[in-house]
Amino acid sequence: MTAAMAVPIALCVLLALGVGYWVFSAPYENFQEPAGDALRRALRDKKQSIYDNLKDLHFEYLAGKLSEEDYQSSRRMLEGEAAVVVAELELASTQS
Amino acid sequence: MQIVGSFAVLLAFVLAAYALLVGIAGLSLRHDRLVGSALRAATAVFPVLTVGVGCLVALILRNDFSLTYIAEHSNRALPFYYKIAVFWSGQEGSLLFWSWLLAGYGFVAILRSRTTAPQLRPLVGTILMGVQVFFLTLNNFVATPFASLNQATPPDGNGLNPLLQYPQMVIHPPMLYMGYVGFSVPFAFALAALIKKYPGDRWIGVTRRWTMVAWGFLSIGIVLGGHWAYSVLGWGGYWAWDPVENASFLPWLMGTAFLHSVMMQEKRGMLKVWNIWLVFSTFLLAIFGTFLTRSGVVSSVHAFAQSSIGGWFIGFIVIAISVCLFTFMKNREFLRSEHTLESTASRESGFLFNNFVLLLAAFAILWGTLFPVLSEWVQGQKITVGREFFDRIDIPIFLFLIFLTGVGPLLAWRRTSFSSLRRNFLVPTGAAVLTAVGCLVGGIRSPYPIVSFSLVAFVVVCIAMEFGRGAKVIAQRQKIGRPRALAQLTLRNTRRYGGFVVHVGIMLMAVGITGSAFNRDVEGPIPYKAHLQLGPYTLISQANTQDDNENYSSEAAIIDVTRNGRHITTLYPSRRMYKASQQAASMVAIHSTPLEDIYLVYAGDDPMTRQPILHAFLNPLVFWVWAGAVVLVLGILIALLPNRTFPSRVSEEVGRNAVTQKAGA
Repeated sequence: MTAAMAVPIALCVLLALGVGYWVFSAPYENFQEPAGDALRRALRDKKQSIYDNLKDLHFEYLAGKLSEEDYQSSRRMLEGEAAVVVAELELASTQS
Repeated sequence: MQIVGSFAVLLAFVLAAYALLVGIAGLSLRHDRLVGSALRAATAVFPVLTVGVGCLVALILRNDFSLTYIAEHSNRALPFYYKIAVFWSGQEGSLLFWSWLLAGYGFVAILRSRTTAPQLRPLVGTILMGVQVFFLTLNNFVATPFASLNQATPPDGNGLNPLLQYPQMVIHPPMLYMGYVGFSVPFAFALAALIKKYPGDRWIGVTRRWTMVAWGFLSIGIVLGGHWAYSVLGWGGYWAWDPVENASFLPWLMGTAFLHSVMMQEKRGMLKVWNIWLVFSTFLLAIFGTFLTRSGVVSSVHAFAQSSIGGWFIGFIVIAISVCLFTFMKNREFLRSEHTLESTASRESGFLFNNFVLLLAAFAILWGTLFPVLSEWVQGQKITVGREFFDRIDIPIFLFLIFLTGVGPLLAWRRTSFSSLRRNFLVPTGAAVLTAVGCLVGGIRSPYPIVSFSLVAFVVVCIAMEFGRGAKVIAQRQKIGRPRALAQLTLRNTRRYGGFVVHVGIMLMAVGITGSAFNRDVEGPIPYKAHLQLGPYTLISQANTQDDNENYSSEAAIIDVTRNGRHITTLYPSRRMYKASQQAASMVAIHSTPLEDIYLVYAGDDPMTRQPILHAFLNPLVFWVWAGAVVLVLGILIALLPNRTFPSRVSEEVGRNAVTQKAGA
């Protein structure tokens, strides 16, 4: 092996060793999510999404984009959906 | 450096393969240590590959012509910035560039998903490494940029393709690739969510944001490609429905469809199957686009590589489709819709129509693009469909799409009553009618431009009303001025109002594109002091000059442009002969104003008379194509900002109080 080859080969070895250390020294991490947590997270996200929809609806109504009829009908629907989600969330929290 | 570079690319392959296989094993066995190690390997691919890329770029800059890739694509006299572009200008380099960008995206996606969707992180990493293994296989075993020449090192290289020696070409391919590659991330999130049957819709929000990033880069890439074609190819236009142009447009259309239909999933829990297939299709079309560009299967001015690499891509596409289909069939009940369509006069219908139209456009373009290949398979004869086919099919489709762009936001979710429709449509429709009348009075008789300008007016007024009404509410409730209210309005819902700014950009581009209906051109010899009439402009040849440098020799005509005797500008269209590659290229001279472009091509000397030939174009409104693109990018940037909250009486209490009462009841 010539001296000109030695430097790049040494660099390759160093790179491989460094990468090997990085890959095989990974600390323990828990990647599993209990089913109950996943359900509550999904319900919380859904509740937030419905609240956001209600706010958007109210804003569009104030901006004059919706008739009273459209506003009230959509609001009733969203409130109904939200009530169901809130109840489900409470049930899921009680069960946990 | 060659050894270190090729070793780094090989090590990246080993890491990606390890991350894929150990990731699958760890996830199947629910073994957290294996999963953690696989994720670490996935994050290591980017820095390791960066070493490989750094070595290749350094070798290019050092003019190391002992490497086949550098000898074929670079030369000593090439300016520094074009030497950087050599990295992605050829087959081997561009594929390494793909891998490197994918590694970068993967690195960021894995790190970021620690907070956004931690449960999907291991699967996302594994899927991205599956894609990475494919590209790194090509880099290492099929098309390596580090291969040595089989002969003595030449004193100089063949040089970069002259068509690529243009400033946009330094930015256009990276942007386009950032778009193509970027679609791998939403694909990985969507597939991971489907495999895991991930509860809730958080994954769709993450997928949307990544799609927006990739879509933004792809948009910039496409526009820069159009600007390059306009400025370099010298035929007077920016979009020729070339197969490679179409290949970039297909994932853009699919991504656009997804960015709209995803709102139906986020707001109403609808179209889940549709959305997941849009994400899959966008990714597959991005790979297909790379295949078209790199395989040489279709003839194109943009396809700079002719190779047998196509089989690898087809194999990968088949595997990817199989994985998507298998996962979908296995877990499709996870994608059950929560609501159904209640009325055709609803925002949901608007989005659905928009999606159908976008898909129709994509299908028509795909059909036209693949027709030469299909006809050769079926009839043994290659039949090419030209610009007329695409214009005839796509112009009506895109006009309808413009109409839907305006209509969508005017409709309410779920259903819209007649009184709301009347209230919202009256003013925009009036603006459209007035514009149509204005066009007719202005002497325009062709139907498409009249319809196009009218629809653009309709959409722009719709968007202006959205901003105006929203700002008015905020100004009244917060007791602040309209400009501040406008800023607040935009920042409190950046996605919505950023989206409207994107729509304004698209409308400006539509104005520019419509201008092409009025293009004019003239060609003729233009010896010293001769005149050429181009519409209202007179072109006068003042002189011819010649120049010579290390990279090329050139010949330019000096043309004075006058209008009614008044000097407007002097233009210098030229023709270059690149020494290393012995190829010629035209350098177009353009005088651009918001109203029209004067576009001059020095077409060389007439072989009989030895007189210089000038091809001159008058292209109205082209400026707005580029201006619209700038506005579009601004809109994307706004849409990517996180929403800000401002103290307001229109607060969460509206929702909370109502829901508490309802839940109590």
